[in-house]
Amino acid sequence: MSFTSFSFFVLIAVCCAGYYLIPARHRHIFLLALSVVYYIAGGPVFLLYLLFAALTTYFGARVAAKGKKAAVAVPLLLDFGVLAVLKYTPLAVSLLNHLPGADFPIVRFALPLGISFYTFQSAGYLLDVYWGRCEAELSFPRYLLFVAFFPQLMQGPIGRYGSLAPQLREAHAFDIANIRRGLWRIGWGLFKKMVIADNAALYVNRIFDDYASLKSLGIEGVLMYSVQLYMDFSGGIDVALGIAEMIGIHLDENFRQPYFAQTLTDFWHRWHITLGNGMKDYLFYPISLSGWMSRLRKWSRRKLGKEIGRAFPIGVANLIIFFVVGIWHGAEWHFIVYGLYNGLIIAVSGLLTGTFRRWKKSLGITDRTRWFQAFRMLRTFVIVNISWFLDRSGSVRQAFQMFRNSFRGPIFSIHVIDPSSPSYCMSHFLPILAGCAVVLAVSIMKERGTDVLKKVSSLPSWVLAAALIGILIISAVFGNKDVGGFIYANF
Amino acid sequence: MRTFKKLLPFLVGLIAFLCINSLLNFLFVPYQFTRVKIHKIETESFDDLILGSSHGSSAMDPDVISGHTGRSCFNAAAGGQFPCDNYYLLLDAMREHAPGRVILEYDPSYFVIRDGFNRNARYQLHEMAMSGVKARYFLDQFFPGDIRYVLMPWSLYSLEKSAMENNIRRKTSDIYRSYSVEPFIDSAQACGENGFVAIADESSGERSTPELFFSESNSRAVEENRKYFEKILQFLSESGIEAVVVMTPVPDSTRDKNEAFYLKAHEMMTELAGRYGAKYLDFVVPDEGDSFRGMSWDDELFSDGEGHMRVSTARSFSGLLGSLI
Amino acid sequence: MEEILAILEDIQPDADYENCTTLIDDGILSSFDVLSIVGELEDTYNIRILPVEVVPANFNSARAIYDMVQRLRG
Repeated sequence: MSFTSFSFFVLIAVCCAGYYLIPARHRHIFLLALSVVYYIAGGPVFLLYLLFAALTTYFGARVAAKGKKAAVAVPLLLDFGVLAVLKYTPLAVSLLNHLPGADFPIVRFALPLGISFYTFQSAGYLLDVYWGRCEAELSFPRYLLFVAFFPQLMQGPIGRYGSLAPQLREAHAFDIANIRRGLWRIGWGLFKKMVIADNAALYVNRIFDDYASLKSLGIEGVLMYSVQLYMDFSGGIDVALGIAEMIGIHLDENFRQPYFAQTLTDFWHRWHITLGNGMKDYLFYPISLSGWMSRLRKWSRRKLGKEIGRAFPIGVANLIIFFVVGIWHGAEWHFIVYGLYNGLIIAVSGLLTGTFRRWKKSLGITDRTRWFQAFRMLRTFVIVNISWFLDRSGSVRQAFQMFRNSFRGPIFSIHVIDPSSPSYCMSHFLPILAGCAVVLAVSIMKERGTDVLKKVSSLPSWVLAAALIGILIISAVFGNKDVGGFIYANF
Repeated sequence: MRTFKKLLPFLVGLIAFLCINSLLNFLFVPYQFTRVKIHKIETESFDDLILGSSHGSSAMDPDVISGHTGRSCFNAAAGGQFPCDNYYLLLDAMREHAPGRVILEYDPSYFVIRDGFNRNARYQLHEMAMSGVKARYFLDQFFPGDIRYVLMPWSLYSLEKSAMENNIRRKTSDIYRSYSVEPFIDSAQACGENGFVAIADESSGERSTPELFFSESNSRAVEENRKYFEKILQFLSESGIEAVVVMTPVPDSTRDKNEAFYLKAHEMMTELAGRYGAKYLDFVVPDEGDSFRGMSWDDELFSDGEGHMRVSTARSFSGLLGSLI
Repeated sequence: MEEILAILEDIQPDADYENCTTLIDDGILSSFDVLSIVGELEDTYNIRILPVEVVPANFNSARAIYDMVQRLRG
């Protein structure tokens, strides 16, 4: 069920009306029922996988609360085992086939919706209980709702038990302010997705699928992708947050003007924040603080000196984390290289922190120097865009070829795509441009401490209603619903 | 009550939106031939009802077929009509008058695609009279669709001023109220009261032949389209209505280029039609013993590479078909 | 306390450790910095700092770090 589908709007309306009409003690059952309906719409069988992950972590946590390590290890192995088999079998088989004489057929499994998200979220809960950050949930339906809460099931934000579960439990009284904030957030998200991302997707798909003949368009392609990815992903998150907001639940923010990041580390603190935080708490710290890491630190300090020796093990841990982030995106080499690229840059810049600091000092630059901030922002944007080549391409080879070709031939030749039809540009390019200008303006204000979206949601209700009608009509007129081509049935 | 008062601006907003939207639908959704077809099948009864895609609508002239069979016949096939749309069209027709026989035109090139925003289907839904069939059609095909497709079909059409003026003129005239076919007749093609779309012999479209194949990437579309085709056959067989499946000829060059595709399509339908006791006439891959085996279908007989027949070809083909059924 | 301030200065000199109580909340110390600090503390005081201790509350100020170290040294 896509966020832009009619049925999803009906689901939102039912959720919102039902929540406030149903007595407080039954509300979690109601939300759970809606979540199950939502999940079943994507494939009834998949519900079993979700239940499996929920059951294993539910019972695991009950035992893990008493400090039993096995109660953590077994569910994690089972759940990530299922994820690994479903997601990584093709990669493993293709690796095996490199062995002499091996020729196994590559099997692809249908992936249950949101499996990476709910596996991560339920594993996080189990670890939180084990580490004493929260109590184990006793009621299975309540726990299942935490795992399957429909607004965030498909693409996050990844919720923490400690902050989400109490909100799901609490009875929220009707408050028009929540409805207004929620509706406006949904509208804003739909605008980003339907008007900007879907139009940008046209260019992205064309350029990346046909990169061999559209050689000179690498830069345009990747810039469009950075627009598409951000607008699509953050727009979807806006919708999820908006729905929850309407019933008084505040989900964690997942984006904070990521393209204004000063460094790549900063970018990861602003992009897909809940994944980054999860990775940090459940993987990065435990690995960095483990016994063998402290032995590695002692060794590296002896061999590499104090400064680099101190940073070295953290850099290694970073590489491991970003390897996992890469493979989390998908079981393909280009995703793994994408992860390692990020990890390597962060690790190396960590190792060189002291050196950079001395350079800056000798040049009289501080992190507050305006032009230096602008430079760092641009540099980070470029680094991130290079990583998008790896993310969006079908293979590592394609990413490298596109990257190389980007510097050959004229820059900014997007009109090459379809010279016969200027309307192509007018009807798809202008909405992207105008939409980006609006989002950029809002983001700059937010960065400077003015939350425009919040201000809009406190305008009189009838103004807000008119604005939402405007968004719907704009998305119908300017959104990409290019009927010319058929959508080949990959949905 | 206080809650209601607070929500009032949003409820008024919703109603305002629905009003504006209806107005936009009136202004920008043009009058189409499908309106005539649906009106016909809902109000009249026919011995033979033709269902299918644009190949069927341009290849089968009901008057010629009637001349051979002596039975009344109507062509309800239309471009952009997928098996699921035909299924609900059949159910809609059945509400009032069950046809004596259904001629199902089968175009396998439809099987490998699905259209996310199918204007024709959306228009067909709009034109159907209120009924349980319409509700089922909506729930099945539109409810999960994009909100713009379901709620705002106007956005799928030209939003130019001239188009709007044209729409207003037509939709407020008698032509619209009396289901006249007059606006659908021009020098390139003529739509008839019998549902037949006569493509002028002089008209010429895209000649390059499409490349067709069954693959992993379109397997879900094939599955979906097959499912509804089967539903039609099953329904007809359970209702005791005779079914004839027809694959209309395509230009020889198109067939030669896509030989494997048509063979596979032939196998699939032979099995499916056989299971429900339907007669299957395949003019692209004829069976051993078919009287039309060995006929050649020169490219010039068609208006384009996809295989839309010119009117004179259609008339002789309809004669041939009429004599076979 | 002096020793801890020296460690902090060495790892990230651009901060006011005497007064600041939002080192983590305001992003003055990155996770890289935090782990460097943890490493230094472990080696200097011969203690083990477990993941559960690495929470903002324990690293938001020099004082909080000092308290944690005292606690862990027993």
